[in-house]
Amino acid sequence: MADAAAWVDWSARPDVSTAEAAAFERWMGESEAHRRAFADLAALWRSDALGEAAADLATAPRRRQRSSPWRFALPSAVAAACAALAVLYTPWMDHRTLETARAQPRDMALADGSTVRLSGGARLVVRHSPMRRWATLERGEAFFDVRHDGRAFVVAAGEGQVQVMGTAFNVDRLSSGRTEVALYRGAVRVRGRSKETMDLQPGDRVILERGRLERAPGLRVARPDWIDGWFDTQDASLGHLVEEIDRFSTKPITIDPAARRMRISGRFQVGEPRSVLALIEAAYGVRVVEDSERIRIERRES
Amino acid sequence: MAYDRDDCQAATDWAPVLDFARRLARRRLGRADLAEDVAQETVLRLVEYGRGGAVIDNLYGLAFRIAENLVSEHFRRERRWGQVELSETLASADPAPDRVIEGREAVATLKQALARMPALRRDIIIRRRVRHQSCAAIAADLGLSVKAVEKHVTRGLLDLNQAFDQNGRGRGKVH
Repeated sequence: MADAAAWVDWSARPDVSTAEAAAFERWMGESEAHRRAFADLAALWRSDALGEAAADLATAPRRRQRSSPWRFALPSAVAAACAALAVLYTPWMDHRTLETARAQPRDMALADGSTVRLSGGARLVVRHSPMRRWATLERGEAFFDVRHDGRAFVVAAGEGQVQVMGTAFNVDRLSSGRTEVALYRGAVRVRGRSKETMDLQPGDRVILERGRLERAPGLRVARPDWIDGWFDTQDASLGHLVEEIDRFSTKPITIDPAARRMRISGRFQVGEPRSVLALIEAAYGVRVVEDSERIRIERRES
Repeated sequence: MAYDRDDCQAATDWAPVLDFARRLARRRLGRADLAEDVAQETVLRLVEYGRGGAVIDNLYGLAFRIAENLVSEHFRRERRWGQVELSETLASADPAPDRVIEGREAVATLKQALARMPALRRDIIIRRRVRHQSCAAIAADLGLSVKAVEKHVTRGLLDLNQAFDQNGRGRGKVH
């Protein structure tokens, strides 16, 4: 059982080696008892119930103290002292570059308590100073959950900027120069190149292209689809879809200019690039050519 | 190349994979019929994946990811359609689910178990599960060795599992 628990912890890591993966396969292959123990503990670890229980305890230590003063008095005093120290020192400064390998989306915590979920193949440069918090999305897609601490939080992507006051929002920077911003909670102001700005309400979505802002159809869900490995669109280019699956693919996926502009709609499981490739090959009359280096999508010659 | 893909395919015994996916899904979803669907779909996708020309050298790792995705997809769909709370759907659809992890009662049990843990272990579990910090980052933050952090995570997970199993037996009783 202890082995199973260690494997569950291992499976939650973003950077696993092939040697470890092979050891996991061996261990799972050894016995039914191993597989069942792993299934039970993994189900528990990933359950929303544990996420909720842990999140509750993380955010509400004071309330708990009242219900059982003796047991919690000391730990929360220590926690309060740590929190005070943390406020004095760490959160103000955070200078680093966060990068994800292709096919490896990752959750990252920033020093100020905000979190970022980066898609595969993304690069985010973080510069937090005592006065302001600044991040530049150089490529890829990022979902921000920003902690409000009195400092502005600005995300720059392409020619635009998003300014935040404690909120959850998504920025998708596409290689075509187009950037999409979607707001899930709170309030943000988006600025284009010409100082033109747009204030977003939760559920709003805006597209920045060639420095200009344009409103897009709103959102219907509580967090971006790509986090669960989906891409849902009423009207997008095939090039856009391919860029989304490319982030989940271990092999680079490229698309010929002739096929890039084709319009698509529907719901695609981009977390599983192979199934999407099979689908677009069948549905959009394109051909998928794979070699040892990359996967290329081209228009089928008629 | 020397290997023969058809031989590899024929050699795969799907029964243990089915059993694994079924167990995982059953614990999350609490319903045998849904768990069976997830298990079947998981193996189906693995078979298709293998047919696409890929050699599957991480069978259980893939099965785990696929089954997990299918379970999340199920919950997502339920939320999207605005159905009643999870615990209630599950309870009404299956009067005696064996140790379903989702639901309000489970949250209460797990909260209790977390509260009973040593403060350091609880803190580590929260950092790992809620903030998705790596063991290395937690070790650096708390001045511990990575090994010590990993040990706390595994011990904590076992504590939670034990609390869960115990509560499962006395199900329905609120003491």
